Parts: sequence; structure tokens; C-alpha cells
Amino acid sequence: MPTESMSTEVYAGRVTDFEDGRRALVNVDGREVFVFERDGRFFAFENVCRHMGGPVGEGMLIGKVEAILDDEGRHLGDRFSTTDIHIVCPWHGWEYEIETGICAADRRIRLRRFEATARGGEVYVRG
Amino acid sequence: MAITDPVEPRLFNTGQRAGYDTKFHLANATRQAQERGFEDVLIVDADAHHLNEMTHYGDIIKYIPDEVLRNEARMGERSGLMYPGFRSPQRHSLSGRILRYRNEDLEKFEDKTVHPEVEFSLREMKAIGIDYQVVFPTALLALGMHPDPFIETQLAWAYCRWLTEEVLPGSPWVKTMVYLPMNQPEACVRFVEQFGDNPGVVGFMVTSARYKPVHANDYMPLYRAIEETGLPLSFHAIYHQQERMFEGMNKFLSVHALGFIFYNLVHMTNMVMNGIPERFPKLKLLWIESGLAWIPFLMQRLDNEYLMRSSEAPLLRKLPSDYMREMFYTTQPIENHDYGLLETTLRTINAETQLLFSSDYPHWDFNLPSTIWDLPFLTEAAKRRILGENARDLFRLDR
Ligand code: FES
Repeated sequence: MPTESMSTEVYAGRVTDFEDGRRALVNVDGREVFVFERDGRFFAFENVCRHMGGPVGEGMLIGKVEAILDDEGRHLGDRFSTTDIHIVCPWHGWEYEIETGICAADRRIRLRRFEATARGGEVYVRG
Repeated sequence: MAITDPVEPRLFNTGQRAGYDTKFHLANATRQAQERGFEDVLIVDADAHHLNEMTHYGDIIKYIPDEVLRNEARMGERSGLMYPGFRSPQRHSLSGRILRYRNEDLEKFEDKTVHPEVEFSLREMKAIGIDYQVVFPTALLALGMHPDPFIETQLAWAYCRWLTEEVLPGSPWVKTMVYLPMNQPEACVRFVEQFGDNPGVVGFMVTSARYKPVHANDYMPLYRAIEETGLPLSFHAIYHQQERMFEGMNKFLSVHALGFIFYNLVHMTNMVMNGIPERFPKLKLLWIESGLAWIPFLMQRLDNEYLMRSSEAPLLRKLPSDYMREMFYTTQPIENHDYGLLETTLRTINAETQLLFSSDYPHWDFNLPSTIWDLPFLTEAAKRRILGENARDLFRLDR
């Protein structure tokens, strides 16, 4: 009986494959995982939305929408965050933080996250 | 199928790089169906929609009976007869976040043997694991608020002819419920007579956003006629952005959340308090697309008030909730964030016999059969009733 969980490492492509926002789908321990790059960092999550199982990896990346209030609490408008980026499930719009996989609308919920790293011009995902 | 279909694995089906294909968009739904063995479960989807019937508007308006109005529609006058303030369904895309809306024009329909709307239905039904599907319009759900009842009736007639003559004959698995132009009650009876026997028809549908009260005396011949067909009369929820009270709501989500129950709350209350179920005991009523949480809410409100003021509702012979428990409801959009509340709701409405699964696909808040199948507190027999057998019996699909 193994006493430690084995972690699988899967090749996800060359770093250059991820240019222009291209993403990869790989199979890690039987799970479909999507991999993408943003600002030189790689992210990987299971391609199963926690809402109804949608293909969250197909969704758009977009800044978190923030409300702008003045000191008196008046609403002046909304803006997109340039630092908090979300991936949006294309089935119904659930949003997740790309840094953590946490659901923006209910922080008790999160996507299954995988470690994605670039080494020698290649990208690997660890289960 | 789908998930093992050949697809370039490094491309995503966002419609940007790989083109757009419902089959791939729903690949995760197909996997769910396979994992749960839906092949052996009868699944009837009691409420789904055309991809967009307005893309076939030219085909529809040729059936407008009034030749002057038909000409006006052809010439694009009065925005093709829809009223000012009418909004296209594109608004539901959440600023493009929900890709189906943004990319629907990229989908290819190549089967020359069926209408593209049927090809679309069959494509998503296969992907999700649905055996029968009842389809409704999308944009024309707003027609009940048209300021001119004559135009509502004329457009509704044209739509029903297009649907029953050009679309539904393509498949025995795709059905509809006939749009009733309720602002002209006597015309509705003609719709029942004309379309009620069509093999694609499994009932009659009222779009809920409208003001004429359902207990108006001039509806009684209509209720009698529908009762005699044995098929259900449904109220399909829809919001109305220009509703006076909703004008103060600045979010689509706010208007949608309330709008999809608001009119059905009013119609249900009028139905029950005016004793329509007592007058037409065999008339089967089906409430569509209001979700489920509103039903126990209204049952409690009406029972409480009726017990104090029963003299105002002399036709009732039991509690309002008892009548409501004999009616039928569709599941979507199921409020399933709290299983405890949902379990209570399903028990309260006798879900095992009264509830019908619905997807609402391809709309933004669609549901999958797993929303029922995965509920831990239902027996498998109850799941099978809700997913398909209740609808099979109500729609008499094995006629
Ligand atoms: S399945 Fe992802 S938002 Fe619903």
C-alpha cells in the first residue's frame, strides 16, 4: 500500500503555445484540466464549474467589477479591476479568481486547482 | 458521445478560435449524462426555447392573416410590429460572458432534412440526454405586453402556423404549447380549435407578463375548451422591464429575479381565489419558469389570509394551498443553493407527481437533469417521475 499520494506531472505544451491567450486542455489523473498564461505566470484548474459542471476553462478572463463610491457612500459608477482577474464560466456566468480558484460570489466555493509551472520553455501541470 | 469526438485538443470551443458548436459547448453535460446513465432514464424537457425565432421573422410574418399588417411587417414598419421598448435577448449575455449568445451566429446548421431550429434542439437534446423537448419562443414571450391586442393575435397566429407547419413536423421529439393571445379571449378559442390537434402540440401557453385578469368572465369558454382537450394550460413566466414598479430597478438581475415570479404570483392568486379550479376541475394548470421557491411562499400567504376572510372567496372548498398542490410546475431555474429549503419545497408541492423537469436551454440560466438526479433526498423513483414520467403523462406523449 502506498503511504504517500503520488503526484502526476503532465506536459501541457511549450511556453510559446500559450501566446495570444491560447489555452490548453490536459488530462491529469483522469481529470480534464485547463491551463492558461497571464503576465508570464501559468494557472491550471479542473475544467468543471462548481455550479453545474460547466466548461469554465472556455470562459473569458475579465477584471473584477468594482463599485466606485465617494466618501459619503454615493455610487459614482463601476470599473474593472486591473489586478483582480476573474475567469467566467460560459454556461451561466459564475466568476472565479484566477489566483485562487475561489468563487467571487461565494468564497466557500472554489475550483479544483493544479500547480502549473514553466521549465526550460515547457509547461507542466502537477496533479 | 461528444467528449470522445475528435476535436483539436489545444483549441477551446469559445467560438473565437475553434468555431462554435453546441455539441462541444455541452460536452460536460454529455459527460454528466453518461456518468449518471441517462440513456436508461426518460427525460422530458418541459420548457426550452428556440435559438432565436427572430432570425426567421421573414418566414413567420408571411402567415399574418391581415394583408395590410402583413405588408407593414414586410416593409419593416413599426420595427416589424414589435412595440417600442422591446429588447432583444442579446441583453442576457452578461456583456458577452455567456458565450452562447455572442456566438450563436457562428453555429452551422447543415441538415437539409429538418428546420435549423429542430436541428439545434436535437443537437442540444442529444448532448444533454433529453428524449422529448417542449419549445417556446424567446423574443415573442414579450408579446403579451403589446399595446395593440390585434397585433398580438396576428403575430401569434403567424408564429403558431410557422411552428406547426414548418418546424415541428421535422421531429416527433420536439413539441410545443400553443401561444394564446390572451388580450383577445375569443381569438384564443380559435387557436385551440386550429392547433390543438396538431401532433406537435402538447398544451396551450399564456405568456405571463400581461394585465387582463385570468378570472375575467370572457375567458370561461377558453378554459372549457382547453379542459375538453385534456391538455394543460401553462403560464410561462417572463419579465417586463417597463413594468412601472421595475422601472426603479437598475440591474438586470433584480428585474429578472422578481420579474419571473411577479406575474405568476398575481395570476395564481386570481386563479385560486376566484375558484377557477372549482369551476373547471379537469383543467390542468402548469406554471413555467418561475423556479420553485415562490410556491410555498404563496401557499402560506394565501392560506393565512383565506382563513380570516373566506367570505371573499366563496367558491373555495378547501385551502388555497390544496388547489396549488394539484397544479403542475416546472423546475427551472431551481433554487438549489440550500438543500434543506429545497427539500421542504419539493415535499410541500408534492413534487413526485406535480413537478416537471425543464432546462430552459439555451437561455442564460438553463438547468441540466443533474439538478434533479443529484438531489440526495429524492428516491430514484421520484427522480424518474420528475425528469420525465410526470411530463409524459401530463402531455400524453404516448398518445
Ligand atoms: S456551470 Fe458554470 S456557471 Fe453554471
